[in-house]
Amino acid sequence: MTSNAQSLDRFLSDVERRAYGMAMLAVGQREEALDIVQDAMMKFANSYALKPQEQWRPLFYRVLQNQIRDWQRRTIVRSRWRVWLGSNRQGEDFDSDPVQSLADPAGRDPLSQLRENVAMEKLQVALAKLPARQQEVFLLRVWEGLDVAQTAKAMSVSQGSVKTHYSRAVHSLRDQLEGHWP
Amino acid sequence: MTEEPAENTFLKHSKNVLDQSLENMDTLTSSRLAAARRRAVEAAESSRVHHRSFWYVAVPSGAAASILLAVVLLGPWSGNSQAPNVWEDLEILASDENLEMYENLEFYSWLAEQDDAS
Repeated sequence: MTSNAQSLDRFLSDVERRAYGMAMLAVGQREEALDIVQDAMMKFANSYALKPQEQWRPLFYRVLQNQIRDWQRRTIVRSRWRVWLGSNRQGEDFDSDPVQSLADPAGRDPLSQLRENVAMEKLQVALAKLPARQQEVFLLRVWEGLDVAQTAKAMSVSQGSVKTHYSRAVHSLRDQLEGHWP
Repeated sequence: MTEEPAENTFLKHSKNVLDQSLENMDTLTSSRLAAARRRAVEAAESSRVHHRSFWYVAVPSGAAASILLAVVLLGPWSGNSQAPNVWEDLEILASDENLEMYENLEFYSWLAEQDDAS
């Protein structure tokens, strides 16, 4: 493996889980989220692997956000046509995953696992209520740690827009989670 | 607690909760992510870089468009004014290329701005 390939492997290894988490929060279905991350990795590797590494992070998240938006647009079109054709099959994509019910791989006790699950559930519900742009900016800034300029580039919006969306997202989340969180 | 430390505590807690949610990731999902990463690295390393050719883009988009058009024109519902706007939907389905086309242009324009600023 060349040194660039090793660097690319390290970079993708660093971002892949958070990318999957962001895709899951955006689309809510594991198979779709995995496909989105896989396509984003492939497009990023094919188009940008030879670019300077300091550019990789905002570029990767731009590709990922484009994949998510593309999925959302296609889903809107698909559901519009399904309804019109009288074959609304909402819910058929939701499958139960037996692997999810296995013991916690991190080996935590059930109480702390439950506490963490409840905290995540509350955050998921709160995030789901945010407009898509606010959700994106919050996750890129807080979870991925992108600065304002990088977030603006990843989302194809102005820095002013990032600041506005971020401020609204934080206020909205704090309002929703007040009393449940520290 | 004043506003700024309270907000910082909230943000730190949010990040921790999000990070912890990934620690519970099941083995199947982890291995599929790792497999996707390996494929991406191999693709980048390969001398045969998979640039999207005209046909690679045009054939699937054209096929999707043709099927959608045939459904609308030949279906028993043709002429129904309640039908979704097929042209609008075709534009949406075909717009993937627009995003990619602008990706590079916009990004390098941004980089140039960053260089100018520093």
